[in-house]
Amino acid sequence: MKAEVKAAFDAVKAGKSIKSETEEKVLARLRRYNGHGVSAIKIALPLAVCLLIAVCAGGWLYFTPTMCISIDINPSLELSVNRWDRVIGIRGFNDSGKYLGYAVDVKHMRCADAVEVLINSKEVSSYMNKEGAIEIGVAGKENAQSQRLMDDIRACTKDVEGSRCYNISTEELEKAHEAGLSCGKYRAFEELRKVAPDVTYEEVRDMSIREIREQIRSYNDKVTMSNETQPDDSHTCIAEDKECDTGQGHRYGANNKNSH
Amino acid sequence: MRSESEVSKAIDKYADTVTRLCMLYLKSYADTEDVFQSVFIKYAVKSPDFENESHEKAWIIKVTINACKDMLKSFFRSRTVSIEEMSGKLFVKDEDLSYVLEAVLSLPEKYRTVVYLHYYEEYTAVEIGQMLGKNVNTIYTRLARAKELLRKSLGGDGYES
Repeated sequence: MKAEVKAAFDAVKAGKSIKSETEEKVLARLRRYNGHGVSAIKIALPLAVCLLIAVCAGGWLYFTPTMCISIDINPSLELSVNRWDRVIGIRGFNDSGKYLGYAVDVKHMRCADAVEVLINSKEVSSYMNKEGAIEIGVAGKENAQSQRLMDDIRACTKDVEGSRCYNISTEELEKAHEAGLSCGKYRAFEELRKVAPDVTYEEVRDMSIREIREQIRSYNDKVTMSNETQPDDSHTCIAEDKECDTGQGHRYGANNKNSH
Repeated sequence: MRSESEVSKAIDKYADTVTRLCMLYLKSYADTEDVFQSVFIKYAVKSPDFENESHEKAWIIKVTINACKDMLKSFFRSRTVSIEEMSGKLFVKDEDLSYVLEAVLSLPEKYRTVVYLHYYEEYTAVEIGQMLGKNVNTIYTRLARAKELLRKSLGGDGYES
């Protein structure tokens, strides 16, 4: 039986046509893989990797803040802004600031639009009715973007009674955040501390800008009254005093005296 | 990845083996053609480094059997045809021995494979067991039953056990 089975299978052979057709197709496939053509995966894989890198890089760039907008009434909050002037983060520095950031969602809006929406919101309007003062600071490196943001914010606050805009440096921004205060509140705190050295961060955290300014004014009034008995040629004012305000933003550093 | 010359040599060397296995499983020219091509494409693109020629042949046989089984499960497989219909396209038939082939093809599939691998390719039961992933005792049992069935269908005495 073994011999017959062997002989029977021996007679079974592949036909010439199937061999030649197969050889043709297999070699064509090999050539595609070997770069006589290029396999699809050799194109798709590098493209997919490049796309992934581009998406990650783009995402990183979009979510990297370049400027900070500090808004202080009594709610104190800051908007983180990216290189394309888009709001990518909102941070409240006190309970009312956190609530405001939650109630009025301005994420991913253009910065100027976000500021306009915030100051026109019913929440801010009710605070403004009570406090009557709002300060908006543009914090970051002095560059084209900071100038552009300052111009935009001035334009949308020009008709807001009691509003004030200013620039603040990155160093002061860092110090403000270390103290747990928004830039505007920190700036006001530093001015108050000049006349009231005992004041602490915690005391000003929940004070409104108006209250801090009133405190500064009252301390200054006391100094003025005590100086009346000792005439002095020098006159020092704090630049944010309304009488001195030229409507231009002042850059604040360690010494912020403007003398007339 | 194999070179073009390796592929051409492999087709030359193993075309008949692949054809016989396809005939055992598929009984259809169109399906045989598909399996034939897929086996050698796999050889060209995915085959491992072989230790020797018998390792290479065993790999070809395993891949062919698996491809045939996949084809049998496939929704798209063609209708089966008789050996006479296939013979003109696939292989040269020896008329005198066609009854032997018919007898083998009439066996259940699991017996056909062991008959071919043992009687024609001359693999031992141990080697067949490794190739098909079966216990060696299972292979012995299948061989014994296949012989019994062939003896009945082919008739006569004097067959090796």
